[in-house]
Amino acid sequence: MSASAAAWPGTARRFAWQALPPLSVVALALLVWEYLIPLGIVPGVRAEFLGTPSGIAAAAIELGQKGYGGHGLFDHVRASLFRTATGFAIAACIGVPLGIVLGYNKRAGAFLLPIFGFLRPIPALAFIPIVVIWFGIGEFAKVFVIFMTAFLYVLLGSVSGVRSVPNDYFRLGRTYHLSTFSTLFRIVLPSALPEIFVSLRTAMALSWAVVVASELIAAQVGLGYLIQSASQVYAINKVYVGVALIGLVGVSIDIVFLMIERRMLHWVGR
Amino acid sequence: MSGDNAAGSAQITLDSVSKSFDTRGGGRLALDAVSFSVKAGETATVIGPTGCGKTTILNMVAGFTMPTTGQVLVGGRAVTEPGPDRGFMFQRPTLLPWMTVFNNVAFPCRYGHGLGRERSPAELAEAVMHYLDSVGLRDARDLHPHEMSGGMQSRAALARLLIAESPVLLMDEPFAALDAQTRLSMQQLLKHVVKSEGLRTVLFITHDVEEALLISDHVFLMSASPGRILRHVEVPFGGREDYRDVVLRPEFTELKHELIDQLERLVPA
Repeated sequence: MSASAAAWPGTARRFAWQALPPLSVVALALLVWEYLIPLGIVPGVRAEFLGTPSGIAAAAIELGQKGYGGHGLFDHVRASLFRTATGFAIAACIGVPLGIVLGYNKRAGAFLLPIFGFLRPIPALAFIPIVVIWFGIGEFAKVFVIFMTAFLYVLLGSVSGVRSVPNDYFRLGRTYHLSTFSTLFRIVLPSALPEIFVSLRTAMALSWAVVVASELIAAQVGLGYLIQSASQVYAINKVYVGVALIGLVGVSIDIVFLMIERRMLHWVGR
Repeated sequence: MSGDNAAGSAQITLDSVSKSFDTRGGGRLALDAVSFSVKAGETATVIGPTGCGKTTILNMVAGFTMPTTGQVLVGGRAVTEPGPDRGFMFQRPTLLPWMTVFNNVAFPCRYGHGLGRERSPAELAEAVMHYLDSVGLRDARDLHPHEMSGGMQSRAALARLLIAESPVLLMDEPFAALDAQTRLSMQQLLKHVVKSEGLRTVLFITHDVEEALLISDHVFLMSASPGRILRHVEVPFGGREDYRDVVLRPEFTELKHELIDQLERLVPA
């Protein structure tokens, strides 16, 4: 035992020693969940509504093989992702350029920014009933809600990014008579990009949250629909799998954004 | 090099320039009838206590702000806006962090207008390397600003200032944040390149008396609130010699302490 431990590379051994204590806690919790909780030891909740680890594993396999509600599991993920990506992309394509213009041109900003500033703190969920009345419960309504959420965030983030461009950068541009085009693309945009990126990441995370919420209300496919529908028949283990999947996709999206950010904004934070 | 291109002769003249700023209690007079001139090819420094309006003077010559009354003339023409005939070096290096040093130095020529002559990409690259060489940054061309020390960033900013070949150079305490050793070498470098790169008129702002005496032909001492020119010193050592020859002279030490004493009396204790 000690001989084989000594043969491990140092880092692997250190990792094992770091990972062992938390893993043992997780293992213990899973054992309690699997064998003690079904005995009804949690007051106020019926034991079968709490599920079990083995039940969750079985549900994950079943969902993976048979799908849910006539759609494969991947179809649900894809439907949610597609709605989010569409609403977010339209929001970014309009929000970033408009934000840069409104931040750069104080007069134009004075007309519109107070209105957007008033709308932004309203939770996107509050718009859902309005959007349902306007557009019904189809795809467009869901994409529109996501657009509203992401657009206001990205727009105001871009405005704030432009406003934080150091005044000396503008003076540098004025000294050498840069054109408006060069000022915008050689000074303002790169300088504002780090803050724009933060707002894009936040907007993406919010969009992902909002797509699930909008699917809870009315949808035939999507991860929000999956957990809502499964919960109506008390299929708690499937709900767990759906929630975990929502978290997993959300984290993956954020990692992709972080990787792009690190690549594009190599000078930030140095 | 023909430094004296765009504006003909590059004399700087302030003709009874006053500037007041709007405040809540009405106007505050920042500069009161300031008049002086800097001849083409000379280096003049304005020193004075904080808040005396020395940066305001520089901003008016640059065209970033306009006098309330009076006139600022550069090369005989009234200043109405910023322009490439008056290069500006900021308090901080103000390099664009997303660009390499090479691209930062190329910036004024690549994206600017009205610099007097167009350069082909090959000529521009050659000019960038020439100026990087003259500030000792030839090997740093591909570094980003965050990869360089403060002194190197200052050198890069100086190269960017020089490449536009502006006949007038305006410098707003550009070396104030550097350590003593680096500051001294930047002063020497500035003196050297200004002398070797043709006729440049330099207006320099500092609160460091020694720096003023080391680099300039003329020193203007200002008082605060309102800002006035109290004294004009013609620097006898010309600001043209090796600093070691200058700082060891008794008259240098004498003049330096005289000016420091005078400045100290201006600052309320």
